[in-house]
Amino acid sequence: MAKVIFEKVRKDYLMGATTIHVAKDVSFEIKEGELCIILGPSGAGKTTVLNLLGGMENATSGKITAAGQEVTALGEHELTDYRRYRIGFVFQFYNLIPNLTALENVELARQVCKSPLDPEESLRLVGLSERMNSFPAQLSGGEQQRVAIARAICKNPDLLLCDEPTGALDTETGKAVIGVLLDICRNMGKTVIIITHNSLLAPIADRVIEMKNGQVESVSIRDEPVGLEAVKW
Amino acid sequence: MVNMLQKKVFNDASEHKWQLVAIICVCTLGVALFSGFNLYASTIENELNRSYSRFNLADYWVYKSGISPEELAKVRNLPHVTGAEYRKLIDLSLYESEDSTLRIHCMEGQGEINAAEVISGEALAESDRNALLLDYRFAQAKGVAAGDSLFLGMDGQREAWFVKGIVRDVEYAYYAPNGLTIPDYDTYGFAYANASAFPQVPFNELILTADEAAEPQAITAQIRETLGVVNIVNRSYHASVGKIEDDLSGNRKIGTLFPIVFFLTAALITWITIGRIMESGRHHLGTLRSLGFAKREIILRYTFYGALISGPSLILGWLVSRFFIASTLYRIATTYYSIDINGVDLLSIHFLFAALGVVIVTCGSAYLSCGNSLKFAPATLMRPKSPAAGHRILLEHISPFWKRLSFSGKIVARNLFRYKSRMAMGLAGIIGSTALILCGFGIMTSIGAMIDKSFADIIKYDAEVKLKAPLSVAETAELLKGIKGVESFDCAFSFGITAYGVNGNAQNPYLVVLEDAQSSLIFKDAQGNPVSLPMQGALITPRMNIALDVGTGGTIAAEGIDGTALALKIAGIIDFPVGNEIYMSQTAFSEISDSPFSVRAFFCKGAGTDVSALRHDPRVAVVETKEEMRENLNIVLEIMQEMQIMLIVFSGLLSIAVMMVLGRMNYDERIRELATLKVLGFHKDEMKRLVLRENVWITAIGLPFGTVASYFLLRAVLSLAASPDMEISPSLNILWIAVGCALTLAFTLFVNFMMSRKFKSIDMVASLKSVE
Repeated sequence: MAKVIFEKVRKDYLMGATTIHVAKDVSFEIKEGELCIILGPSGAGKTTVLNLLGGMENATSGKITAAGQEVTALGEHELTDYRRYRIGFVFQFYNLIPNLTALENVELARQVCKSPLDPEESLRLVGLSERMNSFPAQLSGGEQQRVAIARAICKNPDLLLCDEPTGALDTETGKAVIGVLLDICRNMGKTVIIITHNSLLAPIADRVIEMKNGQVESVSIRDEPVGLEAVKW
Repeated sequence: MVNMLQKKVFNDASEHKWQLVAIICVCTLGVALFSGFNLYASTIENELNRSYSRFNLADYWVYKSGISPEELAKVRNLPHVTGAEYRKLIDLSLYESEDSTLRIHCMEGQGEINAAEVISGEALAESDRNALLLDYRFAQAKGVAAGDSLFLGMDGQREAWFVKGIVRDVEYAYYAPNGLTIPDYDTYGFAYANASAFPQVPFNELILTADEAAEPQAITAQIRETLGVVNIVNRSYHASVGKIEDDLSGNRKIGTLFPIVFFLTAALITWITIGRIMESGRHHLGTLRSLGFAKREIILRYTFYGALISGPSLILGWLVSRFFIASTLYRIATTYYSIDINGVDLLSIHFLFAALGVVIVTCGSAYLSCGNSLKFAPATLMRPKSPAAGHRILLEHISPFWKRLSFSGKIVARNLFRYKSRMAMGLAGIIGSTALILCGFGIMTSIGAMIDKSFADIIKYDAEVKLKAPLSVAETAELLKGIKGVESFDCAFSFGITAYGVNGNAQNPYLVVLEDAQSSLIFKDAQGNPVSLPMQGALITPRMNIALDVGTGGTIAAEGIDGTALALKIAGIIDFPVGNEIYMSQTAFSEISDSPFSVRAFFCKGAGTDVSALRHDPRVAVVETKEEMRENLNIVLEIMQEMQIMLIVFSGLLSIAVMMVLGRMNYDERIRELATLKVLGFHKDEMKRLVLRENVWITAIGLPFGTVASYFLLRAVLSLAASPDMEISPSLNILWIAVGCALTLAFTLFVNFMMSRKFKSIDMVASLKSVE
């Protein structure tokens, strides 16, 4: 069953008199429990696609369906509920609340959910059980990103959307973070969508969508993705 | 290049336009309040000083019956005396309008001292008999113009006087004789006539001017040596000059202390806000440095940021101070100061002080913040500054409290302590504006309490009647026959005296001698304990006690207007907020003076007392009911009440502006955090609870401190505003504290409401982009 369906989705920005087409007739689908990687160079429209899917932006035209809901038909309030109950977001720059400890950052997300996971358990899953009471400034970049992932999975979302989650990390840390996301997909059965420009990650994904100039250039499906250890960074 | 840099500074400013607008408002209010009150006072003072010198106001007034030309010549020849004239002083009633009295000064020739300013008509010629120059206020009240005739006299004897001119005189700038609380132009006026018009009346008043080197005590001694026993009043104790000086000095003191507190609050907020704005734009500074702009160049341009705030603040502040504050107070003042109304001056030196303050605060803050940022390398500046590290706060160690705190409460508490300067700014603003608002209310309730104390606790009579000529007690009883509602009356023998303190100071109170068994005035000491009228010695107010530095048991030397000496032993000090007279019992007075007790005034008591019939009795000078006194006192306090309303309104505006700056700063600096919350699925109301509750917390923390501060501020303001005639004790009840605090809280909630509209428009994508 398809978890995510994009049908001829367009996103235009009006910049003065000029219209910029950042997503042009984007169509693809992602199945439940898949790890999907959206690849592409800078300006390809990857982040726009993720933002549209996450309900952070409205499409100019086309239809997006995710977790059985037609996202493009939702109003402001419903979109907030959609993000609240269905979506977990992981950002490139973590966006943790600086004056809350790791545990409290995760608890913050739990505040707004119907069936959240235990925050301490979420932090254990990302390997941070020892640093729960540290503030973001006391954590390394990789650790902060793992807190952000714990915050996202604690909400027990249908979709985990990750925008360049390793973009601000060194190779080893980045690899560890991807490992966590892979575990969440494989062990918890969550649908995980990762945006990256690092094509070396492609072999671990069940589905790879390549984008260029706001369009989907290719979609490839791997029946037997490789493990993280097989990826050369 | 420089022009582009200039343009960049403007662009940066427009990014923070609302914060700048709020800061401009705060600075405008500070400048307006500080310079407005002082501009009013200095306008009146300048106007008076100009008139005093233009019309040659006397330095001394000397009263003695029968001053001869030889004595006048001797006085003229005294060292330091630059001029002397004598006059005949006569009070005459208006025919068939006996309650109206004209005080006529009769001179030989054109007087040069206290010269009258002819407004319409002509000056008197030496040959003019039965012609006079009439006070313009009295003329207005009576509808008399130059060229009209006026009938003076009583008991069927009338004499027509030709009104040759209408005049104003500096010695009557404030004229409220006979213990009136406010001028009554329909009842009391003055006039000038030639001395030859009253050949039978001797010269009884001498006015003289002295040079600047003259020592008041030496001059007084010389005059006494020349003229014998006389009553001498120097300029500072003259009824008009002294009264206006007291008023203005009180207003000026309130107008200095209160605005200084206001200004300091505004300055602190401005300083912190500009610093934060500069800090938030540090990456721009890095870019400019990397492009090759010199530090000095950048600092100079960004200091211009301060000028962007100072310029509009000073212009607006001046407009508000000149055309609202000073004009309003001036309009009220000129209804009872008879001065030349030329409008409010354009500027006073205080505006320059305020301007300097604003420029130093705004430009100084921009200069220092910019300079501090530029100490870093351009690359460091271009990187986003790492956010202040979160840490545990003291409250977290109080486990029972912290555990009970909601999750959002914990976030708010941590946030408050994380951004200390923001909290300091918010607290300073709230404490300052709460203190100022409550002080404004405090002035109002203290005036109310003072009036209540005077008219409910102290004054127990229903009307006071002053007589033109002394009567006996039996005659007074006769006078009161047929007057409705009078159940009892107490007689008083009162007359003006000059009292000299051990410190050399002099005061001109009335000595009020009351019947031993009187019940019209209830005296109490400062602790509120009843004090009975002593059978030996006199009672004085705390103000008189301080002015004369005497103390209970001490003795003050006094002299009556005719020069009779009296030694007044102080038997007690009484809490008497309005008026500054000396009270004695008839028995106590008989021990120090041979003068018989004659009735000069009496107090009537009785429910439904109607003394209106007495107003037209030729023997009666003044009739004032308790309600009229209360009303008149309110009129006297009008300037202060107007100031207090301005203080409340301005403090409220300050509070709104502070919360606006704080709310905006909180929003701008946390936009990334807010966008994250929005992405996480927080609804608008939930985000508002997290962020805007912070303002409510700051307000709640600031209110108790503001209340305590208001008490000290109120005490200071009222003690500065105290005049010899009036003392207002600080009194602020719980109801008004609650109203003031509720107002401050309401302003915070209003600002929160305004800010909450912004939450709707948070752009998650734009806010979460990496910092470029």
